[in-house]
Amino acid sequence: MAGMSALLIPFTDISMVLYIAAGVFTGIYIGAIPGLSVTMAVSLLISFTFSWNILPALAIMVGIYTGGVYGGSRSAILLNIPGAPAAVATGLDGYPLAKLGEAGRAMGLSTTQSVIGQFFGVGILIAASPLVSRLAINFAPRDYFLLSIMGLFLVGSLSRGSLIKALITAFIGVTVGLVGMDPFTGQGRLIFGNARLLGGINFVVVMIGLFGLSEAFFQLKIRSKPVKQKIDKIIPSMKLILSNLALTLRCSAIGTIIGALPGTGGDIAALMAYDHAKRTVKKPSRPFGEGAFEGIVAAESANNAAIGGAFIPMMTLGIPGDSVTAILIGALIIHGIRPGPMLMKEQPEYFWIIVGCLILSNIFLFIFGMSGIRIFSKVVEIPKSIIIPIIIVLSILGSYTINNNTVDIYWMIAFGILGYFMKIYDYPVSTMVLGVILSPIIDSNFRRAVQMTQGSFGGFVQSLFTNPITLILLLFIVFMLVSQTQAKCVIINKLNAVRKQG
Amino acid sequence: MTRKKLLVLVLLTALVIVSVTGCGRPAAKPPEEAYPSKYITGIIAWGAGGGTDTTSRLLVPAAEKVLGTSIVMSNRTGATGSIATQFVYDQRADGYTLLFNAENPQLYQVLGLSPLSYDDFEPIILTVNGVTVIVVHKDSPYQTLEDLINDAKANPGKINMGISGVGGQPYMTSLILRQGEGITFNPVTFDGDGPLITALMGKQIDVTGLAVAAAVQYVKNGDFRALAVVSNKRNDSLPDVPALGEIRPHLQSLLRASGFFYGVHVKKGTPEPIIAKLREAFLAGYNDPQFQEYARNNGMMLMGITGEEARQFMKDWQSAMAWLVYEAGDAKESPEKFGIPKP
Repeated sequence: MAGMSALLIPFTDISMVLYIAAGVFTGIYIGAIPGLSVTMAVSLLISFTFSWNILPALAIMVGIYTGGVYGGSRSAILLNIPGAPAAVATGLDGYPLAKLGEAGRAMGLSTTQSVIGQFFGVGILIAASPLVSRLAINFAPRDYFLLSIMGLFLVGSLSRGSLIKALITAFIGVTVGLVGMDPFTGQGRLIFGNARLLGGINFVVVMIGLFGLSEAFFQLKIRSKPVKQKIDKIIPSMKLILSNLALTLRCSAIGTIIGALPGTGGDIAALMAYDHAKRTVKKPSRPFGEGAFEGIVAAESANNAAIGGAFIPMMTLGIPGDSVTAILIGALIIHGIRPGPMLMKEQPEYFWIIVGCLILSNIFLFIFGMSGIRIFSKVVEIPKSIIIPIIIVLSILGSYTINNNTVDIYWMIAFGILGYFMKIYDYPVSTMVLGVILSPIIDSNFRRAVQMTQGSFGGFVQSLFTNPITLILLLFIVFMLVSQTQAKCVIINKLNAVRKQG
Repeated sequence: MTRKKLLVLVLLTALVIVSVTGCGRPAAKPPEEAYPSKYITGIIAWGAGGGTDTTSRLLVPAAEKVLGTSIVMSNRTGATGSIATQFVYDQRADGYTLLFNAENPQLYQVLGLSPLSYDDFEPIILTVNGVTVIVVHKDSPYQTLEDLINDAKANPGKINMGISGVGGQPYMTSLILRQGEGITFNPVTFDGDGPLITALMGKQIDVTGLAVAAAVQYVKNGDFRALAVVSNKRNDSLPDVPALGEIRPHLQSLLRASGFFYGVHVKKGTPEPIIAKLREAFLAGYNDPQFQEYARNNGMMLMGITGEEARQFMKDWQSAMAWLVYEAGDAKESPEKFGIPKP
């Protein structure tokens, strides 16, 4: 525990406290605006903080990271437009709550759970970094493949009513995710001879179109009145938090581990946690998808826990846990510091400074998250003639700023129109976004896993059974399949029949 | 009610159209002597935090001082940098849009990614030349490059080599070994240095090539063993690791122009006085102590070449590497088609 005293540096230096506070505050708003992402904010800060000292630069970046991951839930709850991919799962129950007039409570709950989740993630970062990073190293392509297959099971959780419709949209999503340059050979796939499609379709563009623009169109069609919001009880009761504590901790653990895996981030963490909640919570406060508090608890604790997780491989191995830590590593390199095993040995104080920044950002997250909820709640009450144009402008702005590319705007509009018809005909849009998110992970890791066995499929199947992590994941998938589908009934019936005969 | 709705719809449509079409560029064409009369846009072809990004951003502050205007940097990623390259090519040749890219455009044609190459651009400066180091896990049976080559000869196509995709540096390394030693590996593709490091740590691959900067700390820490630096000269960051050209002299001609390089380019046809001004500015950025220190700390070889010298280096690189890819059977088009001479 060398250098642990450096933990206090961010607390004792007033300028760092201010930088972190400013970072968290801006992060919440950047996160809340669809299309403005944490990744973008942190990369902008690289050139901004170029001439600064390293510590203030680090402080403001960690602050923005924390605030931004949380902020995405705001717009997901209020407008059904996730501000960031990590908030897709939050909107599933958050928006129905807003429609019931409980947006304030949903935001309050998302704040407390984010704070608990982040503390959990940071706790693991402090206590179990070497252990978790060993897991991250040994997580092979075949394991990522199985994990993403588990992710595909979410289609069931996210479907409303018709499973076939959910499967169709998920399939389209997976296909959209494959468009562009093949990551292995560099050849174009599904580009129809058009070189401009080589870059692929950015999944955030798909998300903004499907959730943002299509929601604006859909609001024009349905003539619902804005819901009057209850703003008396925004701080969730101790009872609500305590009764969900076990779920919060389980989802935080899922979030931390998925965040620590270099190939997956907060978006998948939140979705997996949501899936976990839906499978394990027998009596939710309301049915999932109709405003269950448990849905928010799961998603919000997991995505903020993933932050602590993402720092684990970054600090111990020098490998980024997600896209934001990848940029943070770049920022540190500019300042002459390269995270990794050597830094941990030679200057362990940097580890503790980052831990300190994370703890302090979390405290500010609670303060800023809880204040302003009443004003935010009013967003839902804004007349449609004002809010819809704002949503459209934000959707355009957001899709443009991802890559400063006008083509992305056209894609966003196309997906917005597609999403509008999907909503009219009752096809879920969230499964399509899920497909786009998972598609490259499934594709690359399956092919990588087969490459590792020299292209032999038999060897690949064998490798699924001969490695401990892989075998556990495989058994888990089999368990999920058997316990939650009709296979269970079939087996039980068979067993009963056998027993009767016997 | 319906009229109101119609009005809203019309306004919304107008809004969408205006905000989409409003992104055009101003038409004013500034005279050469007044350059730069406004800010300059710098397009980085790779993502934030990566090697191209860091190197580019470090060049800019000193260059801005010389030019007396700001350079607004933005990352435009995707398709091995060809999206950014195309974007800069689509702008006016007026020196207001700069391309910050690595060696990749020199292979776009043979890989079928884009009809463009650095022939369509003017080099402002090539800053650094980076090299790859061949590494194995510390528990690996391969103590030297000799061991690896011998085992690869005994088991062709059986050793798993981590690469970062066709055209990437580890891939080029495997081709150099294939051409020079007649050995083949089983390629396993990962997303770049970070994932390759993870895979090697987890022993999911037997060997890989990493940028020296990325590999140094793991070699010093004892996690990885470095077998050879893919270059003719040893690298200052890893002075004990032999150079490939040193232990395998017959590879020297192939290694003459190899590795990766970073540079700044403008579209061909940009007026010479503007190019001269940009050169002066970026040479200042290159000579800035902060940049020099960064390059040294990250095991990169300083180049600082411009004009004809830079063009010649890129030509040599293209000739050697494009033919290497073509002869390995991974090219979509023959280099001959684009008039790339055989080395």
